[in-house]
Amino acid sequence: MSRSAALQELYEASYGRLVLQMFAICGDVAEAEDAVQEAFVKAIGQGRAFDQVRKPEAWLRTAALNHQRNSWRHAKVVRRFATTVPGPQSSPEVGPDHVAVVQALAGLDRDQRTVVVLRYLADLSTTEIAHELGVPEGTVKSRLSRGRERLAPMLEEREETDHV
Amino acid sequence: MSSLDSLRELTGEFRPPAYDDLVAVSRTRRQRSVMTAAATGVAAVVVVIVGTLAVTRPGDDAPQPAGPTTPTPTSDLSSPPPPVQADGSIYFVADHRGGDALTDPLSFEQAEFHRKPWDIYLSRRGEPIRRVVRTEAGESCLQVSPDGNRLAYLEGSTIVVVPLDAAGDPGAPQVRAEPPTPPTGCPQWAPDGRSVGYVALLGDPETPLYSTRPGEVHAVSLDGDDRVIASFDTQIWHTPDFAWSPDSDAVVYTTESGLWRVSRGGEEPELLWAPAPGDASQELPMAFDRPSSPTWSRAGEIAFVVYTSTPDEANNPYGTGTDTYTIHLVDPRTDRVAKLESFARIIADGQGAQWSPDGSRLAFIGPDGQIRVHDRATGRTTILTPRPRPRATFYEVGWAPDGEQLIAVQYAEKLGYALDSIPIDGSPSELRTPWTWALDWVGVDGVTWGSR
Repeated sequence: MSRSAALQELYEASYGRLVLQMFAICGDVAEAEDAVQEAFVKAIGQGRAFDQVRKPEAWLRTAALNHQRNSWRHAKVVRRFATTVPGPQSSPEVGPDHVAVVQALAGLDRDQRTVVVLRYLADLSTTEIAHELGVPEGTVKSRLSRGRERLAPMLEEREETDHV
Repeated sequence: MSSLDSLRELTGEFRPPAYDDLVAVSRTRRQRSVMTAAATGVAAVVVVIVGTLAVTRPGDDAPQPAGPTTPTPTSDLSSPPPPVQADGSIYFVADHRGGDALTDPLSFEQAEFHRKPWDIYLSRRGEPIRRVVRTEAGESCLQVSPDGNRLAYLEGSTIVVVPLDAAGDPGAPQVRAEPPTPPTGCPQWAPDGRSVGYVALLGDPETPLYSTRPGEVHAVSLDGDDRVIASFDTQIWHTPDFAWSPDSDAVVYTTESGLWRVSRGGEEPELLWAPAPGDASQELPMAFDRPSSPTWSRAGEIAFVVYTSTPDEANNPYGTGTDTYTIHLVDPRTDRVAKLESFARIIADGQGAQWSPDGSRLAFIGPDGQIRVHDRATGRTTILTPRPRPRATFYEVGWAPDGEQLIAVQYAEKLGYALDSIPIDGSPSELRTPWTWALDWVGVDGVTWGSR
C-alpha cells in the first residue's frame, strides 16, 4: 500500500475517534474537527518522515492536542460562537445526554480533562498517557484521581471493571 | 445512559471531509513556506532546513506535547515574523458609532434597532483600521474604480466620486450628481473607468399594482455630466438592475419580461433572455420567473439570477410555496443560455453571482451558506470552507482585485460581524476587521477592494 493510501485509510478509520476525543476535551465540535484536520494536514506535510512514526494515531492525537492548546485565543472564541450559527454542514446528532457529559467534563481543569478523556475515551493506559503528554506517570495518576472524584457518577459503570 | 461511554455513540457522526482537500491544503502551505523562505533570505532558509532534518531524526516519531512542562521552540519564536504583504485597500461602510478605529463599544440592540448613518472606513494590512469619511451622512454602495484611483459611493441618494491618494485616503469630491430619483441599486463603474452608471425609476411611485413605470439607465461622467443611455418600461413590482459590457459600450438591464442589451449608440434593445411563458389566467404576474442581478464578465458572458415562485397549491397565491433562485449564464455572442445552479434561498435581496476580475471564475453563496467558486474553463464548482471557521455562514461575497481572494461579511452570535478575506486556494481566511456590531446591516455592496 502506498504511503498516501495508508494515511488516507488511517484518516477514514480514525477521524471520528479523534474528533470525539478532541470534542470531549474542548466541548466544541468545530474546534475539534479543526484540530484533527490540522493534525492530518501536518502528517501529510511530513511526507516520507511520517512512515517512521511507530504509532501514527498517537502522533495525530498529540498534534491535535497541540493545535488546540496553541489556537489563537481570538479564533477560539470565534469558533465557539460560530458553531451556533445555522451552519452549512450537517451537525452531528449531539443529544442532551452527550451535552450533559461534555458539560460535566468542562467542570474539570484542562489537564484533568485531557487525562480523563485519554483514559476513558481513547482507552490509553497511564503509561501511554504519560508518554503522549510528556508528563510523569505519577502526574497522570494524580490528575486522573482528581478527575475521577469529580466525575464519579459518570464513571460508575466503568469503576467495577476498571482500576488504575 | 449518562456516562462518559455514551459519547462514543458520536464517533460515527463525525464524517471526515475529502482527504484530497487536506492534501491540497498541505501542498499549498508547503509552496507558501518555500516562497516565504525565498523572500526572507538565507536565515529563513536555514530554519526550514533545520526543521526538515528535525522531522526525519530517528526515534523522534511523535510531535512534542505543548504546554508548560515541555516548551517546544518553534520557527515562530526563533525567526523574525514575516513582513506584512500589502494587498490593496478594503473600503467599507459601518455605523459611525464604531468610532475611528471601529473599536468603540456598540451593542447589538443599538445597531439592530436604532440604526445610525454609516461612514466609510479603510482596512489595509499592517495598518490600523481608520475612518476615512466621517460625514455621518449615511454613505453606502462603495465601489473602487477599475484603475483603483477613485471611489464612488452614495451619500443618501447623491452619487459621489472622490480621488484616492497613495495612502488610500479619499480627497475632496470630484463628482456630486443628484439622480432624478434615488437609484434602484448601487451605482456601477464602467469598465473603462470614465463613468458611473445607475438605474432610476421615474413616474408616480404610487402607480397602481400591475401597471408600468418608466425606467432609465444613466451614466455620470467624471465631469459630472449625467446622460440617459437606455429607457424602458417595467412593472412597478419589478426592481430593475443593470450591468456594463466589458468594453463599456453597452449595458444589460432587467425588466419583468427579460434581460435586455442596448448599446450606448441608441439602437433598439435586444432581448437576450425571457422567462418561460406561464398561464396568465392562472398566475399572478409576480409569480412569473423574473431576472435580477446581472453581471457581465470581462470574458464576455453575462450571469444573472432568475427568481421563481412556485405555489404548493394550484391557484392559491396566498398559500405556501417555494422561492427558487437560479443562476443563468448567457453569452450574447452566441445567445447560448445555461443554468448554473439553483438556490433554495438567497439571504440578501439582489445578491447574485460575482465575476472574478479576469472573468474566469464566478463566486456566489449556495443555499447552505457556503461560498462557491465556479471555474468557467473546467466547469467545476468548488465549495470553499474557510478555515479555521468551517461552520461559518456567509451571506454575500465579493472579489479582491487580484482575483485570488474573496471578501465576505461574516456573522457570529454574540460577537457581531467582521470582514473576512478568503483565499480561493483553500489557505486560511483572515479577519480584516474586529468583530463589531457596527457592521450590522452591511452587505457586500458596502464593501469594495481596491488595488492601491
